Amino acid sequence: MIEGLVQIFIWQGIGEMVSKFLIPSIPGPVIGLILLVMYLSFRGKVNPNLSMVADAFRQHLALLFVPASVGVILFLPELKTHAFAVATALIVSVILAIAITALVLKLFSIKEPAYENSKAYRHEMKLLDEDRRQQITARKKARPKATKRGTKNDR
Amino acid sequence: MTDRLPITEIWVYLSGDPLFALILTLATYQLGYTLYVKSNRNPILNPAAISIILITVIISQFGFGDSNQEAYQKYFEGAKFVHFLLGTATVALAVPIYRGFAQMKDKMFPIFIALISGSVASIGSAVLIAKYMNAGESIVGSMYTKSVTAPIAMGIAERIQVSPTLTAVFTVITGILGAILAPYILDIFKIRPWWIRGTAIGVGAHGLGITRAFSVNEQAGIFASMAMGLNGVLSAIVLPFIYTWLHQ
Repeated sequence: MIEGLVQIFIWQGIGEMVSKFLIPSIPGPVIGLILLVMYLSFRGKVNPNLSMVADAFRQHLALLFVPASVGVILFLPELKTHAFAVATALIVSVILAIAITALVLKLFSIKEPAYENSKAYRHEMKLLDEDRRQQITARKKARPKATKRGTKNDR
Repeated sequence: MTDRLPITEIWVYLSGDPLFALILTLATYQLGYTLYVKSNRNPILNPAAISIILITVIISQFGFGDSNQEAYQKYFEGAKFVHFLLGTATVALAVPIYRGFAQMKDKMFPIFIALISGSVASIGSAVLIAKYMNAGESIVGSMYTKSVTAPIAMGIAERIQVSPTLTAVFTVITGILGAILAPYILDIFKIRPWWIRGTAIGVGAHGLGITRAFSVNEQAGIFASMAMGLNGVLSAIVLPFIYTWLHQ
């Protein structure tokens, strides 16, 4: 766990430095995130330590912004006066965000082949762990005739 | 006679200690989380929202300070240790983004277009409605950042000088609304593929939506996490320019 944390802190530190000296408009942690994605793509795998820390953070992300949100105590009068406007703005924008994202993707995916024939699926199969692949091939070898007959019947 | 401290003095001592704010934050969140899990993950019982409401009531009612301002300052003195981890959590979002990338190689282009249109629609509608209904400058300002996952949103809020507090609060509310409404919206438009549902939830409902997505379908969860992170990164790069351009 510590190993994963150290790795994240180091990328955060590098990100903060790049943000301070090179790209001040982007927050340091975001630069750290981008650099870490690049590093992971370069390595081609996530180390389990890092993945454990990242999952823990993702699961309880909401806890981390509780302290800032409690500051709402200073804005209560303002929010009360504009409660209706705030509620309308938030509800409409949530509905639009979800609907438009989904509809755009649906529009693009009409021509897409069934998921089982897609590149993504083949890639996923490649990622399946060695064990399961071996199991599948072993099962095929054990009953070669049955599988052949099966495919013929399908056709 | 023994010099026993009256209970009120113990309280005064405790409430001035950073540890107390830390315990308060974690304990109320834990309580909220337990309720959330017990209720079969009902999005209305958002752990963060429960925690925020409880803390707000406690520090404003039980002599934390003479004014709300003072009470909050005192509370934040301890809670800043939790607050500090926001940046770290942002960097950690790299892992779900990377995992999503591995699954979406041939969907890269549609997803980028969908993310951009989704977040433009979300920010545009929120800002325009708040502005049109005269919601005041600080509220309108925070509508720019609220559509992004909170840790990144607060980083952006500091850059463009809008209130990080309102940003965080609006993000929490957005997450609750998104998690409640998403299944209905997606069903109305007959969206079936899990990866599309996940991506839309990641853009619209942030962290809370993602935990829900993961509990329904693994692939939806992975795409939701990736969409949330990617949306945050894109917004962090683009938003400061748009905001300064609009507010010249």
